[in-house]
Amino acid sequence: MKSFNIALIGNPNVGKSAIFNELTGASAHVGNWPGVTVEKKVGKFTYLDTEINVVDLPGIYSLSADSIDERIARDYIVKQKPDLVVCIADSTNLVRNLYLFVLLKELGAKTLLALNMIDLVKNKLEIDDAKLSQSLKTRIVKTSATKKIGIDKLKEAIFDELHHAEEELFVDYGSDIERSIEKIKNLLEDIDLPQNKRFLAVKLLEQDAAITEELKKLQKDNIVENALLEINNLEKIYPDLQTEIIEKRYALIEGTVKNTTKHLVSIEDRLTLSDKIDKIVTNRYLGIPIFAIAMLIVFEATFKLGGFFAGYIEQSFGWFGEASAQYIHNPVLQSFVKDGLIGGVGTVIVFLPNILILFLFLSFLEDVGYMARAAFVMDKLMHSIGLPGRAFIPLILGFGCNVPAIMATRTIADEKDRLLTILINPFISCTARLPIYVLLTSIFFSNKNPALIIFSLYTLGIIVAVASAKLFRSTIPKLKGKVSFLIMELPIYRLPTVRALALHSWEKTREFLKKAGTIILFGVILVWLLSSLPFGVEYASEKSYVGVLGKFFAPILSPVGFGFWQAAVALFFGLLAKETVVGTMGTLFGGEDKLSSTLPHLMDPLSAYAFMVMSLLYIPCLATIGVIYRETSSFKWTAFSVAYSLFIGWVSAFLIYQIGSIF
Amino acid sequence: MPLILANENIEYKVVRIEGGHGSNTKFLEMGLVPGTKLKVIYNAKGPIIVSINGSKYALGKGLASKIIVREAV
Repeated sequence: MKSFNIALIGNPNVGKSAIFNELTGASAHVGNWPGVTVEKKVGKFTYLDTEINVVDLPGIYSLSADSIDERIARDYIVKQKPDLVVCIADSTNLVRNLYLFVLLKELGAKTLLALNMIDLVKNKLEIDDAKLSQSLKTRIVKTSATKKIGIDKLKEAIFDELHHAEEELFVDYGSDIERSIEKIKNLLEDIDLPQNKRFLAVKLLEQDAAITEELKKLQKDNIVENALLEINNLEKIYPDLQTEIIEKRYALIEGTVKNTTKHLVSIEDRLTLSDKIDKIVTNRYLGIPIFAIAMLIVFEATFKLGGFFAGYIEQSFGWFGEASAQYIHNPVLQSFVKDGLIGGVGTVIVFLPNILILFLFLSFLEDVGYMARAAFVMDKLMHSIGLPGRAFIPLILGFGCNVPAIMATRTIADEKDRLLTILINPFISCTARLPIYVLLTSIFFSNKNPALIIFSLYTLGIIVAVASAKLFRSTIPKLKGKVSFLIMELPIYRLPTVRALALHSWEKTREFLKKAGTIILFGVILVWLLSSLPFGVEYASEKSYVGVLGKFFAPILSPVGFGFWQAAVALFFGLLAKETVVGTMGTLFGGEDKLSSTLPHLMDPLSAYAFMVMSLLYIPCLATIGVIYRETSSFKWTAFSVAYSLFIGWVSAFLIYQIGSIF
Repeated sequence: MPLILANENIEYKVVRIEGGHGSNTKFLEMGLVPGTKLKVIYNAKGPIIVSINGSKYALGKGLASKIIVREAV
């Protein structure tokens, strides 16, 4: 079978993913672009006797090398040389969308133009596609992925275009600039770069950093210097050459659009519904309360509804563990299957309902178009702590569970901002830590306002998160710099299809299972091993390796107020999931009911508070570590997160215990 | 005058864009070129919302201060 490779490209919010899903259906799978955490989706479909592989490139506005997304798209087109690039444009905003198309043409890519969301301009805008096709030297297909219009035509057009030669589109930059382009082109004659020579010449005049660098690598500094000379000459005529070049492209596009389209309604009447909704949700007084209510609903649904299912999953795994134990008589094997394997898999699966429901809601808010408004509403507040508006959602979600919260940082485009948001997330106190607070406050603070004690821990978590954000921003070179400027499109509101929603949330959930899941399972089995070895000891007793470890670490914990080995073991088990701390304490002291009588002999209210602070801040749980690794693709940052939180946890508990002891 | 001083619900024309290469290119590529008409939809605390060719954008105040506009007639 013959096979071809094509790429989909387009501005953000043009329905590119929807087209991708319609084209490739179930064959799609998600990965990452090499070296970066930008999502890469690939899939395929067959047309007649031909297999067509489809790559979904990131949503971008242009092909300058400023952002990772743009660089990925440009490199893919230039280096992988797909047989066809399908540019997907939003029919409601042709001028802006065609800019990317013109750049693709200049780059020398073989293109096909899909005018998507065509249903939204019905009765509003008349597009003469024959004329537009002629002016832009491309084949045009009108589509609407959500209404399933034109998908078959698009497949047919893709197939046809694969067998046609590319027609060039010429942007006339005016005689002065053209003369310089011609000169630089001549110098580039025998340069071994895959890009179109005219494209290279124009980009050199635009002082494109990536291309300058590539030429320097080929030791062609003389060409770069010549280009700079040309720029100096041209700037005598055009003081701002870059702007001039971009405006020339727009002149071509605006002229073309004017000649090929007819507005059937006035601009004012066009987006009235979206405007009316925006008047309310971005209102200066209502904006934040509305966002708060929206988040509260997502939060409640995720953790109440998810918790409901999680309870059943936990129970059934418990039952399954007990049941399997009856059939296995070898005690080591029995413990391995029950505590290690089934318990471990259970720990992973228990998160599943939370994650699935959360991503269902988030995909809905994103696809409807509300997320962009939410980021807008929170931007000012978040800027004051050195984070962009979009970082607010992951932080709030952290109160439920840090795992989906860290996954939700994907909506933050800027790599630095995203890393920062990931690193501070574990300090937001998740629900798994609540059982520890409840147990200890009920023993030590039952007559001293326990609610206030618990509230103070949540507040401490927020303070540490905010302070760490500020600290990282000002000290770590890789995170230095200003908060990325807010510039984003507020897309038209539209109702997403059930299929798209299901697909988006399932893709993310499946990834969690695959990547984070394996790491969690590995950790669980490791802890099981340490608790059962050497052979013959009672599970997790003083003589097991965990017990030995606990004894080893106990002295380190004595300056923070709880230098007994059971505390160290409990914290060690807390790595699995923080709620395990309580269960472990229970096991070690012979039942949770005995804790209220035994613990007061080992701790006083102050050291109990220090213990809670430690539980709040020290190393994130294994699931969170797994997901940090998964999202940063960096062992270094994962290790940093673990080390930093351990350090902060110990120091905070130490300060509280030592300063508290003075009074 | 810079866009941050603009009034809501009034149409303006972009005169020029100031500032460094990075932000400048970003604007231009999103369709914000000199001569473009834009309507200010929201201008109070936080980012400014403008409507250009029927699409809406939120712009941080820092960026908005680099866009020089005058009232369209």
